[in-house]
Amino acid sequence: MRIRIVLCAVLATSCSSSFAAEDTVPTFHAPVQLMADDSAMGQGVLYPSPKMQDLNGDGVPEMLIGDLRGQLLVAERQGSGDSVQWSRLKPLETADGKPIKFDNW
Amino acid sequence: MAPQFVDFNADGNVDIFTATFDGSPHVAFGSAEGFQVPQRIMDANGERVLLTQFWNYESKEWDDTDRTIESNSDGQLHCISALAFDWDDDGDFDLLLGDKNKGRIFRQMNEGTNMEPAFTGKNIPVLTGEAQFELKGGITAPYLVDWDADGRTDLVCGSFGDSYGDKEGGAVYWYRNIGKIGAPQYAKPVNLIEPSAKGQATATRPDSGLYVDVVDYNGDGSLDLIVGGYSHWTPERKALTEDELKRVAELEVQLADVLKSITELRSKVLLETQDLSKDERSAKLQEVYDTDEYRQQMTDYTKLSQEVAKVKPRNKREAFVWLYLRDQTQNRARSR
Repeated sequence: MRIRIVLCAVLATSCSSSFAAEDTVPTFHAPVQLMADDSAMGQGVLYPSPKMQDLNGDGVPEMLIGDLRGQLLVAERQGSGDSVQWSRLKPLETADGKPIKFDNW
Repeated sequence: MAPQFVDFNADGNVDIFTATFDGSPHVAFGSAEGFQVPQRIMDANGERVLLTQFWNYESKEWDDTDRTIESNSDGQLHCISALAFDWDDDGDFDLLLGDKNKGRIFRQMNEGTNMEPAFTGKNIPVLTGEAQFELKGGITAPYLVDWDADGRTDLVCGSFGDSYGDKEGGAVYWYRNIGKIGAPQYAKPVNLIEPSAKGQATATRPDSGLYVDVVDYNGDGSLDLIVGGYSHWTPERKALTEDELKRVAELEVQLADVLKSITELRSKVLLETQDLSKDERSAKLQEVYDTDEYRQQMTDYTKLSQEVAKVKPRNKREAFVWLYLRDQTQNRARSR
């Protein structure tokens, strides 16, 4: 699938914080493993680095996973709210349809 | 490799900006057709942007330079993360470069524009208070976000921690920007995710190599964390029966035999190729790895290891991605 790119503000997903604490720091619920289709997201990926970003401009962010080798994987979001699920991870491609790969050692 | 999605060249398309383990930042420019093949970021002198340590693609060896940092007393600094950030609020992206070894962050200023950048080639230390930025456990990657919604861009950073052993694992820290727009200053870090003590019987959290994204995941108006990293755990061991103990002993003898054969084969090739060039030696080793004999040995090794692990579980280390949703009901007092 060719992914169309649209302009998004770099911090678009980060500007809606309602947290304005001077004297407190937030706490979080116990972490939960994210799944990509029926697999644990990131399993088998070398040093997975997740980023959510709306790449195709449909208003729904995709999940991008960078790895140590310089590759990027992408999963599409399905559902919303408490029932968010992610599709199987697949390589993000360049405009010529090849998996994107950043130079590495 | 932590990607940043940003319109790096101000052409209206989102680009992918990142540093890799080779020591330098790269960018894959976006276009109406999609992303282009990534290219390396060069400074105004046409040289690679880096800290000190880098992979030299010509010599095919790790290399080091002192050209980018004045009076460096840290030894080797290895850039593995980078962000485009308008540090001085002059309308163009400067660079933030994260170091894996000491947990430092440096900035490199852009004296050009986004469309025609001119990075100076000189790295300036980023500070926390009066001291150099130093993230305990080494930085995986920093992330730009106005965490406390005060209009200034903070940093949220993950750390590696002890990546393989039992020592303290990684964490996630918030560095509040207490400076001004155009002149950031960072406060001492606040723990968002505590350093891992490890020692669990199942995978319960990312324990090392924590890479963080900050998003409002569930749309409740507060920022959550998505964290990639390695979980370390040791499955509980049940007491083995006599038959199981006997079987494990047999398997371990077979495993030692296979390992000995693999080692002997490798040693033989290394000895035979000691006078060859590096490339010739690598090619010869690859030939051996492609032989049926070597493949069979590796298959046997894997099979035996898995069989032993079924009876006698070993320490586990696997990568996952975790979601930390904000708990709106509790807040911790922040130490100042």
